[in-house]
Amino acid sequence: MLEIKNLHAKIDNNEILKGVNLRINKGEVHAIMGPNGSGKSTLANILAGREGYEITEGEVFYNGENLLELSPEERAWRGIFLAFQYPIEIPGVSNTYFLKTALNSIRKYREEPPLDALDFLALVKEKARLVELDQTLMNRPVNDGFSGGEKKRNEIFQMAVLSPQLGILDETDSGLDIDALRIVANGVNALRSPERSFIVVTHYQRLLNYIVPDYVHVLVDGRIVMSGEKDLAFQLEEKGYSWVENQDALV
Amino acid sequence: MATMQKEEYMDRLRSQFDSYLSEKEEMEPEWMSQVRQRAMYAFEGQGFPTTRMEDWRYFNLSSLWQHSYSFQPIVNFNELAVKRNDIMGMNSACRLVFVNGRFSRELSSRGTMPRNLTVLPLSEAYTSHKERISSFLHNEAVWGENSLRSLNTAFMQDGALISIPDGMIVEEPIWLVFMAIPAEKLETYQPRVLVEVGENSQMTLIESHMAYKNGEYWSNPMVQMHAKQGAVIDHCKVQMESPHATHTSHYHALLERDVHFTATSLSFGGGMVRNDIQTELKGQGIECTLNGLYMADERRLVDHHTSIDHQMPRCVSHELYKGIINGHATAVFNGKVCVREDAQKTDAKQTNQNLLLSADATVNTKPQLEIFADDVRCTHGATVGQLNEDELFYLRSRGISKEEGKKLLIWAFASDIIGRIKVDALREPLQERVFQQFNAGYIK
Repeated sequence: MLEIKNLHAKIDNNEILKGVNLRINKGEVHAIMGPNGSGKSTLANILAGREGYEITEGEVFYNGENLLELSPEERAWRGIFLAFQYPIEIPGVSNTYFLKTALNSIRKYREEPPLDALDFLALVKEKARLVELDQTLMNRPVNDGFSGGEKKRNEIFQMAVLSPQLGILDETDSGLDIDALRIVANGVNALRSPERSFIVVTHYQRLLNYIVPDYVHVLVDGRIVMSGEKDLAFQLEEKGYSWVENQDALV
Repeated sequence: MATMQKEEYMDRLRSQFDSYLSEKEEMEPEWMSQVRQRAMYAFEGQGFPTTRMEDWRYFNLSSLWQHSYSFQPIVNFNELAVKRNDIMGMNSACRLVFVNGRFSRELSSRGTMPRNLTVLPLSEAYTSHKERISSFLHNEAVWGENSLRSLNTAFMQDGALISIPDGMIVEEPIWLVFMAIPAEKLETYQPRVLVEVGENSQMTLIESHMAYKNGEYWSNPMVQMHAKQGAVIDHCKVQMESPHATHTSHYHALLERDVHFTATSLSFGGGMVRNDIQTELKGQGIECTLNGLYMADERRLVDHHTSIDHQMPRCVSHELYKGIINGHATAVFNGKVCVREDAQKTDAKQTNQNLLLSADATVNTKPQLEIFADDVRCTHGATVGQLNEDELFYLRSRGISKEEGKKLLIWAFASDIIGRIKVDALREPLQERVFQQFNAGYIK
């Protein structure tokens, strides 16, 4: 489904990604772990199409298409969803209107008819329950005045409504207490399916107790230096990132 | 079109005035002729404002005297017969409709307004409401301040007199529709509106300026408002003139003690637009709110000069003006707040926010605070910015196209003002209108 080949990227002339290789198949959950500043969020943002990064080398294929040539909305239409580390507040735009416009844009691409108000409401109700999101938030402006936990739940809720093929969670666990973390993780787990893949970017192993990955990759200084199965996360938790960095030095 | 010199223009204007006056004298009382003549003398002394004057430095009026505009517009009311119900305000119960500055009885309606409420075209009120009208028009301090107001006083073709007795709650809005049907020849419309709201009365006034078809003309309307003690007034002005029109409007509001006054200026059309809004807070405990939304693109100019004059203690004023500027357009906002020596405990807040959608658009924003009292709270803030890239990326990452996303964000910016409009019959068509403007290539 997704193939990243030797990806190099710069921001403001600083090289952040220095040759990332990653292959993700349908239905797999990949965790990307790494210390601060290793390039995890950069990778997530590049996959979603954020501007401001200069790709100096490498390619990304998504279902055979050159992903880097697509605009953010074209990626969303094709099923890529980024849950933001810091969800953006948009005063003046209601959550309902925003999400309905988004959903119908994606449905249009899929050549499905737009959802009418009633069907949309039913869908919202069902998905809001998934992450225990207070429905009155729907009438408020997007993320405006939401607590940290509400914002993160809103991200997962949007993902549930938009039903992507590849969900990218960028440090969704940061700033969440254990109850909120459990709710968010349950929401994600409910969305797991043989057709849907996930990239879970996180600094801590904690989240991976709840969202159990198929593979774990360790990103250090812009490169994936170690890959393994879910046990790798436990080793990392125990020994810290310096352990990997030292291993890397030995290579 | 041949241009002319200022002196030549003034000579022509004088002869136009003389013939206009002799026509008017047959229909109007003697004292009206005197008012007109005094105003004409005043204008001749003042001349047109020039860009050398601080208040007019961004607004060049020279095309108004270089091309002779006729003060006696020709009106063909029949042209309005088609689609007239689509025109905003035409379905409101109580409305006075003016076409090219002249009153149309046919298109107007009194609705179910009570007998003791006056809502009349000026041309029919000179005799029956002499006292009221003359007290407004003899207030030379008000119209003499700016030569375009003098010009309006000299040439006013018609207008409205609205008078609400004490203690009356007027539920339905009173709507003044000013329609332009531009002719081949350049014409100018000079309507005058006089409003008096009695003690503890309440009213909503809507003033809309629209073009029935595109063309060049100049409208120079003037509104005088007198709100008596405890009155509650909501005034909305919608300016949707033709893209080639010049619109210079003048609003003077005299507010007495405990008045709650809201004036909203919505400026979407016109090629050169100037809105002057002047409020005098003459009593204690007044709450004065001035809101505004302006949009301009291409090479258009939209200029707001507002003034809030705090003369007495314990008054509150809030001012929020927002602008969306695109293309090579220019916007000007000059917000004057004066707090006089006696106006202790004044609480004044002014905000001007501008969204620039193109690198060639210009905004000149200037707060002008003159504070002579010491126990007051006055704040002001002005911002000029572009669309927020993070917000736009967030929308796009959810599948909303770049164009739709921009529209949504600009809409959110504008709806802050439009959402404050209380009259549904105005707010809803305006929302549609702003979207139309977006879809008509306003956002690229």
